[in-house]
Amino acid sequence: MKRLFWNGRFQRHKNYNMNRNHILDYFSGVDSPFKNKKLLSILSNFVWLLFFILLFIWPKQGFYFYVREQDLPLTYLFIFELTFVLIGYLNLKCGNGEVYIKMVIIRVKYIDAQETYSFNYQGIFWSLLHVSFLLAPFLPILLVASLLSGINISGFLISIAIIFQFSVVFRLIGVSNFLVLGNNNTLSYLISRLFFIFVTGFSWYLSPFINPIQIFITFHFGRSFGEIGSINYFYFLNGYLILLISVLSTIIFYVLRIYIKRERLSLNEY
Amino acid sequence: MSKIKITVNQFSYLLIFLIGITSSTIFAQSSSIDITTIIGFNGVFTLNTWTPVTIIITNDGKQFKGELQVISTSGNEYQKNINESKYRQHIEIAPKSKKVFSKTILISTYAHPLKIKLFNRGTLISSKSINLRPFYTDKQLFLILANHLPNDIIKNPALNLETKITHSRYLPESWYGYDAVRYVYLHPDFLRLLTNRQFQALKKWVNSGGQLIISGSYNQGALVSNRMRHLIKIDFQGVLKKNTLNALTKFVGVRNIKGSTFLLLNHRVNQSEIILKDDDIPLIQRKQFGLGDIIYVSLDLQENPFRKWKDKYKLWEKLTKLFPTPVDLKQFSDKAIISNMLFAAETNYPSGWPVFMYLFSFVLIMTFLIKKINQNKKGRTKAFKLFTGILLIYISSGFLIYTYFIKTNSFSYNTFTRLFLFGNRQFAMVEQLSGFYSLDKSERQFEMNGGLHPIVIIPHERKRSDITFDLNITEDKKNQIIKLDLNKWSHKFYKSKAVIKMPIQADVESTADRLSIKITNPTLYNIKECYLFLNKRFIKIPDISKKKSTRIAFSPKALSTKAAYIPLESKMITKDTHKTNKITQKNTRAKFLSEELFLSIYHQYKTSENQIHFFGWIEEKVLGSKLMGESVNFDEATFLEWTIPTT
Repeated sequence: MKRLFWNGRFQRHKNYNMNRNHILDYFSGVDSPFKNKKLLSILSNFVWLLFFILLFIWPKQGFYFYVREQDLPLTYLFIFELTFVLIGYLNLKCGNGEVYIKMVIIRVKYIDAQETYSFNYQGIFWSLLHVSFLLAPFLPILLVASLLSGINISGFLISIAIIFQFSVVFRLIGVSNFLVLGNNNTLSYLISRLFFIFVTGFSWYLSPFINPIQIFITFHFGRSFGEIGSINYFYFLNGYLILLISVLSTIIFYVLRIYIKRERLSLNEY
Repeated sequence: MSKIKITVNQFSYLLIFLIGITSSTIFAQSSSIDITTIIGFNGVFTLNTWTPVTIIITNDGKQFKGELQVISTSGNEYQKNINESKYRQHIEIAPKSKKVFSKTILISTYAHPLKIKLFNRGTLISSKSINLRPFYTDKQLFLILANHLPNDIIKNPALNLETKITHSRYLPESWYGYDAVRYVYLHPDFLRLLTNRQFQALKKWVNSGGQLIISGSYNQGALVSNRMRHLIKIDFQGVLKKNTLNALTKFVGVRNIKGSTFLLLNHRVNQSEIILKDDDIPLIQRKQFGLGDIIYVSLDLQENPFRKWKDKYKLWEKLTKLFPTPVDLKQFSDKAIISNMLFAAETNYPSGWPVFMYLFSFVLIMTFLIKKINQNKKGRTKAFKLFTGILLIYISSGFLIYTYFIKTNSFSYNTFTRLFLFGNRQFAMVEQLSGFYSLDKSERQFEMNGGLHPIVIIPHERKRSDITFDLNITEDKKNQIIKLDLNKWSHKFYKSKAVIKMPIQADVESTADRLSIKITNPTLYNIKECYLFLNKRFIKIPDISKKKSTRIAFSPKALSTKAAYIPLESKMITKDTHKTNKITQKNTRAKFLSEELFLSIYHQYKTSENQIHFFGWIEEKVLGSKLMGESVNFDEATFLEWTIPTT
């Protein structure tokens, strides 16, 4: 695939900063965000931060002390909540084009000299892989945190799945925000953060069932959400997240279509 | 092919029809079942004791197969400590029949009703709620198992006894069902009315320390019955016709027995002690039976003149006084033992240093590789590949270690058994504490074999609202299954009791300058780390091997030069025991042998001067209990306490 707009991208980006018709520029590249220097540095710093926090909250007493006191070591709760916030925020920034300019969530592919473009659906796969890539360096720390809190294997895997799914949601929020408001203005910055705060914190007031912080607290203390109506809680949570992802993906798809139309380009599947 | 169309309306009718059929079936079954309940002994029970509950279920419908639940509630709502004890049993009742079930339950309060529920495949078929208040008494019971003896045999209120004649049907099928009973009078004729399980329960109760009075009977067949021979073996030497019994009237403290002539049975009970004789004919004999005692009176006490005798209550009061003081079970603090058991729990964290090194090395390598990716443009791809590879290795190895630790350490249990031996009675009272520890929310089953045991849950200070102390036991004829419902990072302790045969014997020879004890251990248990406690001093003695005799001798003079044990010295003893324990199983007993236990022994036995107390540890399993369905880390320790007879 031809790399279009690469050489003059930054120049054009500066010139047409607020011109969203040129947004296609950001979606056309194939340069891997996996090796992005800034991103890798942030990742490294986050892992060090979590490592030190884990050392700080490492259980000071023996097993029998906690069992006798009916207490729980807080490693799982702290580390998972913090990882969730860090990765979620990082994905929001990635989606909003704040860390690197090229999006991976949905890429538009240049096809021929007649300037025909198409969605490259592989982008979705790479995007999910990138979210996983951002999560992977935290896994050894998350494993140790779960071990010290005695979280069982299914609990650990569900927690990781929750972090992953919410990360995808944050990335999509970032991309939607980027498509609608751009990435280089205060409004875009504020709106994306408001969304982040809403999903992470304020959703608690809407319903504790959809609040990630509450979900981790529930797991930590071994409580159960039981059933919501007649639906198993995990089906409910998955349904909620899939709905969020679908709504955000639809928004992205249609906004991108509008841009493509404005550029007088056809939107044919390759 | 024709298509079958079902409209919404048709579907609704079908649904209503199905619901109707289901509910009518349940209703039909519940209406055909009737539950009748008798609390305690003919409607009398005492608080905080194990009480028999007789449940008669009449089934007028088709065959019933389901579960019977007896639920007793304790605690109060104000203190938010309401706990339920659920005793469950799988039952089957033939159509058009009646069946009697006997459960033994612990009733701690009459503030809550007793609930009886019948379930069929999880559906409640019938239930009954019984107000316990009218059945309560605060006196101990004198149970009369006879057909013709009146109720008024005890008059002295100072004895705090309530006499109760009971139908054989309401007698318990477990030995601890007699928990509220102080004495039982058994007429030999009554024995044939008991079911086999009821007889075994009665026998086991006497074995566990119960006090039983048996009178003679004019029906000789009852005296030679198999059941009677299991209790006492009688040597028949004849019968004498009498009008008066001087020895008896003197013994009771009355002038004479007014009434018709009666028969004096010239019976000699094997291995018994004669308490009272009348012209060389034994009148009252006493026999040790396990940890309990049986008194045999060679007269038929439910026949005249004794039945209508004005002063008969004096005789009965005298008879009760012939029993020795019940054996005293020295109660150590459960709290101290539980604390030690918690400390000895097998579940452990992985060692801190390897885990730290695993994480630290990962973070270091990751930082180094990221730097390499960011700096070296030529080797970027290679460094990135290496970074991904290392990441995968750390994640997969970490996950394997995590899985191993979580699977092996998320649940464990241990038991601490105390075995009490009293003199040379050859039976031991066993008290077992079982502790279960869980890092995860879990449901497991723990099986107690070898008959029914009184099982209680030991509540501790509740710091989390999700921790409850509900007891859930499924019982059948031979064993009990405790359903363990544990929350995250929590523990539960259960206590059970049993009586086992323990034919260990001691012969003490004492002279002015030498005290010699010969201990014969014909059992299959090795007794290790033994101590004698005598005149406030602990003396370490050699281990006592199974099927062997050991002689211990020491000079009392030398003993008096040894400093008396004082609580501060307990640390030294514990330290010493820790040293010797290094070679024993998992060093657990060393943990149990804490200062608290030594202190407890000291405080419990310090006043019993000129008595020898023996303490030791048994490594072998004493009571049959196991976790069902899985192999989990566990540890067992048995502590033997024995008061050795000095005469």
